[in-house]
Formats: sequence, C-alpha cells, structure tokens
Amino acid sequence: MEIVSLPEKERERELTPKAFTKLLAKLSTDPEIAGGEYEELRRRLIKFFEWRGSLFPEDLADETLNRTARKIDGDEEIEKNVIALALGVAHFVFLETSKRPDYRRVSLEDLIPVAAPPEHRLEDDELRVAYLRECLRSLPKESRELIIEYYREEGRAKIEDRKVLAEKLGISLNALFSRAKRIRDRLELCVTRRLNRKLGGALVQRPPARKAPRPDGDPQ
Amino acid sequence: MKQTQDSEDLIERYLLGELSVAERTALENEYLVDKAKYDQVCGIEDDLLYRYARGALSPADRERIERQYLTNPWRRRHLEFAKALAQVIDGEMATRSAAKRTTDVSWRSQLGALPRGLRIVLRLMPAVAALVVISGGTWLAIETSRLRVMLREARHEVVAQQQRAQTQARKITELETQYRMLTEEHESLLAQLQAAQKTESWRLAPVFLTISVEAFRSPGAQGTQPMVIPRGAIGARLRLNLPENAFPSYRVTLITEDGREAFRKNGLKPRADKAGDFVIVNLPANKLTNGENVLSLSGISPKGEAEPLGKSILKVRRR
Repeated sequence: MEIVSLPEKERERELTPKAFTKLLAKLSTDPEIAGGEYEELRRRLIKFFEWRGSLFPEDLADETLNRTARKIDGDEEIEKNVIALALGVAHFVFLETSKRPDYRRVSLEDLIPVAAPPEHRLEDDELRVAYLRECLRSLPKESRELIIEYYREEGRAKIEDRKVLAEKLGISLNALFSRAKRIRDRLELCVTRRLNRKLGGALVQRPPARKAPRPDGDPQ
Repeated sequence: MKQTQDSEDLIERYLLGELSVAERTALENEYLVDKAKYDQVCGIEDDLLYRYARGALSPADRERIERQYLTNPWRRRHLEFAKALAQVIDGEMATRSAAKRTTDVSWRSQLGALPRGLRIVLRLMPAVAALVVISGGTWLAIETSRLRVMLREARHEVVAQQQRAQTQARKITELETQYRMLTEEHESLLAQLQAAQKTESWRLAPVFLTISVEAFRSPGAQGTQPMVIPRGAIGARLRLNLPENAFPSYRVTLITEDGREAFRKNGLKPRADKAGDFVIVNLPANKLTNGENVLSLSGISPKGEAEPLGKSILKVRRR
C-alpha cells in the first residue's frame, strides 16, 4: 500500500509585476483579452496537472506560469507562442515535482506513524448537498434552470434533451456545454468554499498563491 | 462516428491514467493548445463522473474511476461534487414532478365536484377559448398589419419632412450667406463711394471769390484777400459784382504775371439776386498760377463791341 506525502510549499522566485505584464502582453495586446487568456491558460494548466495526478495542481500551474513569465522577461529569444512555451514548462515542472522527495510515493512502512486523518463522514455529504442547494438557489434563474435541464437525464435521453435545450436557447451544443461547465464550476467552487469555512479547509485545496487578474464571480 | 467514439474512449482512458506516455503527451499537447479539444476532455470527464454518481457504470468501470479519483483529494472533490449534484438535480426533478401531479389532480378533483351542467360548460370552455383565441388572433393580425402600414407611411412622411426641412434649412443658410456677402459688398462699396465722394468733393470743390467791379475800376487794385487753390482743385468760381450793369454781356480775361493771356471767357450774362447784379466766371484751376494774376473785365455792347471796364490783380496761392 502507498500513500502520498504532501510537498512543502516551495517557490523559486515570486513573479515580478514586470514579468507578469510581459506575459500578458504576449497573450494579447488588449489587456482585457489578455486577462481572460491568462485565466483560460491557468485553468487548462490546473486541469493538466490534475489529470496527471498532482496533489496541488493550482500551485504547479502557478509555478508554470511564473517560470514562463520569467523566460519571457529574460533575454532569451522566445520563438514559440506562449501556450506552447507554457506547455513545455509544465512538462518540466511536473517531472521536476515528481522527483522531489516531498512529493514521491513511499511505502507505508517507511512513514512515521501520525494521527489518522478524519474519516469520510456521512454528515459531510449531507452538508455538501445542503450547500449545493443554497449555491443553486443563489444563481440567477436562467443559470439555475440551465444547469437543472442540462443534468436531468442520462444516456440517449440526455443527448436528445441537450439538443432540444441548445435549440431552445438558440446556441450550439458546444456553447451549451461551455455555459453548463461554467455554471457547474462556479457551483463547485461555491460549495468548496462553504465547506472550507465550515470544516476548516480539511477537504480542499490550498488557497491560490497569486490573485488572478480577473477574479471569478462565483456565488458565495 | 467510429472516429468520435475512438476519440472519446482515448480521452476516457487518459482520464483514468491508462494511456501510454506517447499517447498521453500527444493528447495533452493537443488540448492545451486547442480549446475545443480541452472542452471535449472536460465534457467527457464531467459525463464520466456524473454517470458514476448516478450509479450508471459497470462495477469494473466504477473501480477504474475510484482508483484514479478517490486516491487524490483534489480529484475526489470532483467526484463528491458530482454525487451531490446528481442528488440535488434528482431531488429538484422529483419536487417539480410532484408539484405538477398535485396541480393536475387538484384540477380534476375540483372539476368532478361541480354540478353536471356546469361540468359540461367547463368542458366546452377549451373549445370556446380556442375560438376566442383564433378570432382574436385573426383580428389582431389584421389590426397589426394595418398599423404596420400606417407606421410605415408615417415614417416615410417623417423622412420626407425631414428632407424638406433640411433642404429649406440649406437654402436659408445659402441665402443668409449671400445676404451677408451682399451686405458686406454694399458696405464696402458705400465706404468706397463715401471715400471717393469725399476726395472728389475736395478735389472738385470750386474756389469761390467775389470781386466787386470797383476793384477793376481802380487800376492796379488788388483783391481783398488772396485766392487759395487747394491741391487737387480743378476749378475756381469768381463772382464779379456789377453795381452798374450797363451791358448785355461781359468778357473776362486772365493774364498771368508774365503777361501771357491764360484764359478768356466771352458772353458772360449778368444775373441778379438780392445783393445786386453779377456775373459768374468759372476758371480752370490750372490757369491760375501762383502769385499775382491780372483779371480784366470788359463789357460787350449789343453791337458786339468790347469796352474795357478795368483790371484787377488777383493774388493766387496754390497749395
């Protein structure tokens, strides 16, 4: 049996405003668009690390972006576009992190015995459901109806239902998916934050290392 | 279709950590650059977790998911959220369906409790309502069409009026401009004219001198005052008073200081006013030289014979 030990929070150098500005400028000449592109890239990097099985995908995504910004800020000749550059850095960050002693998987026998973490409790599930109901109620009516309609069916009925819903809203299936995903992510964040406040952060991720240029408008 | 299925299977295997390094890297390179691909991966994960949460997966698939998602706190959060979401959505749908059933049952039971005649009337109500809706709809369509035509005409009229107003405004502006230009021109011409008149009046102003005939009778007599000829003056008018007007006409001769006859005028008819008889002599100013000029006056008899009446010295000062 293996368990994973938590890595220490270790950062090389913080991102300077100058390097961050240069990174944004590489993403777009329009600051508003650049902010959005940055957030989108960060989301994808978080998912990349998450799907790779990282324990702290947000930290690694931020580390990747920091290094990417520093490369752009440095004198190095950057021939790739920012996303391709970030992708290369992300692979490197992942490899580097997986080799770190505080991140490696170790056998249970090698670990010093510590107090057992709290077990998964049924009350937590109930709390999660209750919070989700609250978060759902705090959504605008259109968003609430969309998410309920989007998830109401399973199998073939689900596919047909979603086509009907997209037609009703006058949007494509892809656009419908994007909207539903956005709402779902907001709900998940809303529930996570409420649970964090209630349970003292035992269930979820560490706080983001750096504020994003465009904060989320998630329901609280 | 098969290609899509293969792609979905590949993504599902990626999410469950079952791809080779090469396959995994290729997919990662693709979805990090291509937003559509990234959305597809997210969508497949979302469906996978939601099917798990609803218990729609085979035990083997459930185990595959649990192996990946339950061992990682970050990913477990998604799974737990999916379960909560499925529960809340199912609850919401159940509540809605129950509310709908209650409403239907409530209507049916109330309808059954009514008297038979009223029930028939109520059952006919939909047909009557449909008739009213159709009639109303038709009327509404006709009325709407009529109003649309009126609105279109009104809009055209407004546009035409606006165009007319614009044309008139343009003409007014042009006329105002013309008027302003003409006014300016008029004022300019008036100013020029006034200036010219002033110059001309000064230039053409005759010089008046009244000489009494006694001055001619005493030889070498001089006028009372010198005659000043302003610069630019073109003429001088002399009034010669005649206390004794004995001739039907007179002659005046101007002799310069050096004895040259500069001017002669015959046939000057005597005139009369309150002051007495006189003749008027108009002299060109250029005939009057600076200094002393001699003016000679003769009477002309009816036979045409000239009788010298005398000479007078006319002092001229030119400026």
